[in-house]
Amino acid sequence: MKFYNQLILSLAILNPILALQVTASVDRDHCSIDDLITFKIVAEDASSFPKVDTKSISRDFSIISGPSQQTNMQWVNGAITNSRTMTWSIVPKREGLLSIPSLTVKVKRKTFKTKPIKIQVVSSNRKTKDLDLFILAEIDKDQVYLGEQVTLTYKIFKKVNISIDPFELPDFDGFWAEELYRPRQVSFKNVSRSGVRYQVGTLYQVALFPMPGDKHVIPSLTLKTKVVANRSKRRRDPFFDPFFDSFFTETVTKVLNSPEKSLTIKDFPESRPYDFTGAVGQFSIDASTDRDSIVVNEGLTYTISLKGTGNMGLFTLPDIKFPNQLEAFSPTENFTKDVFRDALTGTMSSEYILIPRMAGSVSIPPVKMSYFDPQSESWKRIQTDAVTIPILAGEETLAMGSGFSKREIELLGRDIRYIHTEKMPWKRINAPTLSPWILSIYGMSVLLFFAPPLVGSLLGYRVRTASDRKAKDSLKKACRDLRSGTGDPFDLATSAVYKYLHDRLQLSTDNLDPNMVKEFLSKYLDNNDFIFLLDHLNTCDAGRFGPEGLDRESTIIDETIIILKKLDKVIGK
Amino acid sequence: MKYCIIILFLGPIIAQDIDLLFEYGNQSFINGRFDDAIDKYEKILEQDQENADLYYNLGNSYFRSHEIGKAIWAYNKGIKLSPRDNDIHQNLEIANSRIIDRLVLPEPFFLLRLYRDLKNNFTIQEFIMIGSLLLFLEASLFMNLQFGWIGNIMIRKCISILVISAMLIHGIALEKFFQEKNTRQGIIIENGVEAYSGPFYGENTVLFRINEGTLVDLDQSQEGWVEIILIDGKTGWITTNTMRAL
Repeated sequence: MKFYNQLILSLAILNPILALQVTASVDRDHCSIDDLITFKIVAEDASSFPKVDTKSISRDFSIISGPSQQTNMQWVNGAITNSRTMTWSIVPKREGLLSIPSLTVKVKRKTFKTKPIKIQVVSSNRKTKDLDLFILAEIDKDQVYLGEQVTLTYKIFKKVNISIDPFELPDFDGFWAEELYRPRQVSFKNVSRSGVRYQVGTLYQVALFPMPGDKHVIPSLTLKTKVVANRSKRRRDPFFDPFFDSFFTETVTKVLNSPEKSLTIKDFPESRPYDFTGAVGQFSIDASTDRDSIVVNEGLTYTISLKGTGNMGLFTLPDIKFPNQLEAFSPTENFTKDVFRDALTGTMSSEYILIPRMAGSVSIPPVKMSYFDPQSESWKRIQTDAVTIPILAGEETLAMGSGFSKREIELLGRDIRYIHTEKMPWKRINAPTLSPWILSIYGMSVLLFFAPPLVGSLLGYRVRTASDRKAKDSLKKACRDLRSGTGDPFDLATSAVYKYLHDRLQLSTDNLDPNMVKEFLSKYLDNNDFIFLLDHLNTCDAGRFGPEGLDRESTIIDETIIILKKLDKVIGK
Repeated sequence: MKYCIIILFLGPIIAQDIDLLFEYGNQSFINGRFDDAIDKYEKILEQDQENADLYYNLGNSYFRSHEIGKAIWAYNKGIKLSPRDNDIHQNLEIANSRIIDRLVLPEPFFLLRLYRDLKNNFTIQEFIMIGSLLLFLEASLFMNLQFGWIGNIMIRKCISILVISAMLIHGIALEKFFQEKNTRQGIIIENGVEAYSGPFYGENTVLFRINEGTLVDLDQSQEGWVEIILIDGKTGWITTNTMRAL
């Protein structure tokens, strides 16, 4: 028993969560194409209205109104139940078995899925009555070029008294739409249509410009109206006297659809101009400046304006290349539409602020543009006149303050140098950095570096060094010194001999005397000429420092030369 | 072999063709048909041939057709080939004075400036040519010394001076070579180019706008986009058709 109590208690606590449920329903599952269906989503025990994504409904149905919201609260046996209802009015778009797909409904953080609902739609059974009230979409032409204006007018024809609910406009896919006329209150006038008198009113008028794409269909407009019902039976009743009808009129809601219309897009004729940017219509272009002359570094407004009728806003004005001496700022663009016209008419303008940076005369070249004229079905080209403005020199100090350095100001007044016309050799782009010439120079340098040892090793000939050359030349040099020398002949002879020995034997010391000579030349000691040389040196020494040998003073030079020549032959061996 | 013969025959024909194009281009320029001149000069570039005069004339044609960015590009290309051409320098300076974005950098330290002037005054080829000639002179003096044909102390000093200068010049050439290899530069050729934070439109923000004639360093690139670095260090992505690589 205790267990059951606990179970009931816990169920009671869980109750609000368990009870939360979402259902979708319609008021009828069988209807005709003109019937209005009420679609409801009920969330029970929800603390707030659910969020519903209704996009998927619009595949088969169009939503006429909604959602309207309603909250119900009930107190039954001490328990409160509440339900929140969202209601839409929808009409089918076509006949057949249509379905409202499963919708995703969010209540707080919980997500629910509704069940799909099937609705059988049959053709209207009130065809005859349709002639009393209908809407039409009228277009002024059904074959157009891309960018050419089509004027679309939705009109309502009626024979009965109605009131029109506010309506939503369809999406004009594939078109650029520019609203022309939308009345706050539809006014009616009498017309005769195929012999029948109607009252007709314009609901909406729009200028449509086809854009590139494959779908160009004038969409259908859906309108909800309330038709005043005729009371067929009238009882003479004190409470329901016809007198009160004027106060309590009975109305029937009726949904009207205009038929869809398709447009044919014509191709532009051939030879499309290169500067065609999409302008279609009739235009004229004009350029003007706000002043006739200007001082350097002052501002000037240059306005280019395009007037005419056509798809203005679907193309841009041509870019202008201003001369270099003018500094141009990005333009401010403007578009004014003429009202009270059936066609889109107006003026597009671009305003440039120009600041001349150099004195002189400057000419802004003509601005050209091409457009297609659908009336004459031909390409047209328009252009502005060239504008020439004299620019007066200003004070230089002004120019200095405009961010230019003095050098740059100097340069602004100068022109580039002329082209070079003489022929220069051509070079391949990205040719290798090292040319064969340079490589050969490097090769030769390396060869020269290694030439001496190479030559030696190849020819088996020891390359003479500088000292070798010196040794070889030593005899010649000694003879020359002896012959050309002046002063004491003994002195001369001694020094010549020592110098010769020093060079020839490549001795390191400079201070030689007979004993040292004997030591250095020990391997030649047994040679007669050598002994003779030593004897000769001793004689010279004696001659230098004493009276001995004075008799040989005249011949000592020649003797020395002879001895040296003989000695050289010995050493050379 | 067949191709060799064809190339042998074609060689002079192509050269003649290019000379003719150059002549036509010059003639068009003289007659004031600058677009035509540009067309002819660009055709020569398409044939993979260049020289400093071509870039100079191309730059002049672009300048006359008010395409300052492209003119600056052409002059810069010309200066690379012929760095001591006064005419190109003069015209580049005039073209640079017409651009909108002017960045003035502080003067560098005078030694650095001297070095840069020296480096920019010669092409790599010229540096290598001078270096190799010095090396050759040095090698021949050295050989003479080795053979003992000359043995003056002055010659020895000369050789050491030559060794040092040859090394310096080769060093500069190497530095210039690696600098040109590693840094890619480009010139913006359109006005109001928007630099994005990433290589696609969409959610990327426009970081800054630059105008034609601005010299930029190029970093990484992706299909149709390239990352640029301005001199002041700003980086951003632009589409490749708004700039021309140097």
